[in-house]
Amino acid sequence: MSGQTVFYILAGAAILSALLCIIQKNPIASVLWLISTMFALAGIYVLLQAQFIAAIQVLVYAGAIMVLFLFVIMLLNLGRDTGDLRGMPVRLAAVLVAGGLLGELVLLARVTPGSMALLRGTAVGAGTPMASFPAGQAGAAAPGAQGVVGAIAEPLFRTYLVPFEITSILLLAAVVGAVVLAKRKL
Amino acid sequence: MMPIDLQTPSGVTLALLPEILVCAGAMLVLMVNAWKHHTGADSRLAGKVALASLIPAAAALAWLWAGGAEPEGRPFMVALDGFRFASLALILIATAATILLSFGYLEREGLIAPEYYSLLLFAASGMMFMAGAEDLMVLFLGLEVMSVSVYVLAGFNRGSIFSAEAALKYFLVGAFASAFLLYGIALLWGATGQTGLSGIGERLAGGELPLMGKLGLGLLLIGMGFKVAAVPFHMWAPDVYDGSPTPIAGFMATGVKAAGFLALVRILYVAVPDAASTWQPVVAALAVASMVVGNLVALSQRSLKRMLAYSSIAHAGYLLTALWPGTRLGAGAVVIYLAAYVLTTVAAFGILGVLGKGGERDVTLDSVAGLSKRHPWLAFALTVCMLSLLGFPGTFGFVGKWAILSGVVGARHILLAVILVVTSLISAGYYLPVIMAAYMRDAGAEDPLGGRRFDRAGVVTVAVAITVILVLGVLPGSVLNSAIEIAGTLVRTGGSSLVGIGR
Amino acid sequence: MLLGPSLLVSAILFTIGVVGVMLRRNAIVLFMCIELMLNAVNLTFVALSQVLGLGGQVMVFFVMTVAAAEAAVGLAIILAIFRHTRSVDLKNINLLQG
Repeated sequence: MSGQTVFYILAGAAILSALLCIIQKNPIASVLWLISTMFALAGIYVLLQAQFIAAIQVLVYAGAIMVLFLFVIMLLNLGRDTGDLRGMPVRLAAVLVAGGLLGELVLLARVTPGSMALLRGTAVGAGTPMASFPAGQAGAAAPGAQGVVGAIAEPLFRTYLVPFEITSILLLAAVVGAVVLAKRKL
Repeated sequence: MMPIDLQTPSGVTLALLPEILVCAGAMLVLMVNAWKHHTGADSRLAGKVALASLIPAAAALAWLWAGGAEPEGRPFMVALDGFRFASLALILIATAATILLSFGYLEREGLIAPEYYSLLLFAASGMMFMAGAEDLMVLFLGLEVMSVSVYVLAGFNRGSIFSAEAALKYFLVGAFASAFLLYGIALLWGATGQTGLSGIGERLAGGELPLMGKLGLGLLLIGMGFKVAAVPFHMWAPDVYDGSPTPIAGFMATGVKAAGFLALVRILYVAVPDAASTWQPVVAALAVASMVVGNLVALSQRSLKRMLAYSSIAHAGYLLTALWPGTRLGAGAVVIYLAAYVLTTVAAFGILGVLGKGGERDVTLDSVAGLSKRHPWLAFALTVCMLSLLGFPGTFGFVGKWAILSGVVGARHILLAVILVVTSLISAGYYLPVIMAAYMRDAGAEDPLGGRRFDRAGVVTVAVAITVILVLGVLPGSVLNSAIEIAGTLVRTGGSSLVGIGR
Repeated sequence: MLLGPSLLVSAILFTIGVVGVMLRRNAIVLFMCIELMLNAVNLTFVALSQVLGLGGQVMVFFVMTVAAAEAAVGLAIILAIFRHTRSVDLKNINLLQG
């Protein structure tokens, strides 16, 4: 089986699971279908040569975040069929919005590596190697020397050091916020 | 001139010193909380620590600004120009005012939880990262730090179902908007291979915006539209302002909105200035819709808090009009108008917070009736706020509107200017009745404040804001000149025709 | 490379997420639809990083952090509202109206 075939199978699985996720009446079924979408996406990431992202997609997204959802649903005892779809007018509006949005975004399917060729290879500006990192090499070339994780660590701790530090503040603020809201007695 | 090399860790640390100090303040407040978190006095102490920790941040900002810090080589991750420094100053002022107004409010509502102040500081640091970002990723993460903290602050009154509902609505809409914004960032990056704003600008210079970039810009504008509550992405704002604690509603209307607009100006003016013909029609449409809908719906509101919420939607429309021209004058008008709007709104929400009797959700026109007899100064302050929001000559609000008009007229878009003037006239229909109720209606023997007292910190904040509004309303020359100068650090080309501004 | 098809799948998933947000009233399911939208964006980042370099994969990293932070705060907010209303259906959470 060629990579192309596998890609289309996984893509079909992702889209089908996503559709099932939004129409299931039972929230637990929705969570499980969403996890299925995430596994399919992890497979696609492997095909797109992002093995490390595929691994943390499974570990962090499917493993941690979705389990948290499942945990809250069970904690609140919401695992019943709720039938919470909105009425006809909203459904029509949703179809209209979706049609409009998808009608625009479908144009992205025409993008090919060739049409982006003018971006490739032309390093921008006269800045240091750090500043002009991304445009140069394609994703697959770098991992060879440093391994998959090393290749991602390089831009993470050099080019994107400032955003990385901001995520630490984000997580701290989120922890404080979650405790403030969820703790019974402060 | 003080060149800072942003490629080195020490250079970045220097450039980000104000943000870092605010974060350190937030953590200091958390440490204080660990020991003291039981009584109202502990809560006040946390507030004082938070307020004090803004001083080093302001000092660092003043040092960078006065020293004329500028990037050595290419700008990278964080901007170093007058526009960023002015943005940070505006955000620090809004934060300080919110803290000062919160002392009395938390006490009156019986909320004892010192974490409130550390979340406020985290939100402020997020706003500062966002408004000063030179990179789309820094912008996005700053926005998330701000949003996550403000979601929690909106639901801070844990005993109130309204507060919880406000938090839920704000969270769901905010997360939805973030997803749009992120998709926009992904596509803009895809179209240019750059996340740095000036890098994107260089890539797109002179050329046509590729399809992927157009889609990205559109999605990004949708996301930002939600964040600044522009029509048609506004429906959350009245409910969320209504249910949140009043100082937080004020913080959303000032800090969050200011950070959103400052970031939007930076994206549009630095990253995609050459695609102005693509985004200008969208911005104009959003502006007209916000001005018309915001002002018309505000006319029919009973609750003053909801009225101010719709008025803030209308003001989002004015600000979109201000940034429409894409020139130096446009950026200057945004700075001036934001300054006027932040000062006025802070004072208005401060007064609103003290008027509430058992929950300020019920403050209506009746609640201010007879205010001038019992509390003449409070009535006077309320009057100045309403007139400044209206854009009455002699107040800072008028100066702001005038700056917007000269920018728009200078760029030859007369229709937008006419709509701004007409909708401002409509807004008199809901601002003036408040003043009339305060001065002309009689409330009988009842005290409008119901025995509540305005605490000293609140009085000082409102008094300072009102004084500045009046002084700058009468003597606008210097502030207009410096706004144009600040805008000049962002938009170096074009806009030398200072249509009457500051002369 | 599969660039175009990947971007198309991402667009479809994003749209499904948007439809889900508009259709559902259950706050938790609604939030899950938002997570689906973020996942769709991640696919765009990964697909484009084939051409533009590993910066895209770093951004996926940041998006996951944001998703985790939002999940923590969002679920805490949902818990808080559940204590008041014993429900997470937006139909029952509609006291704030003009």
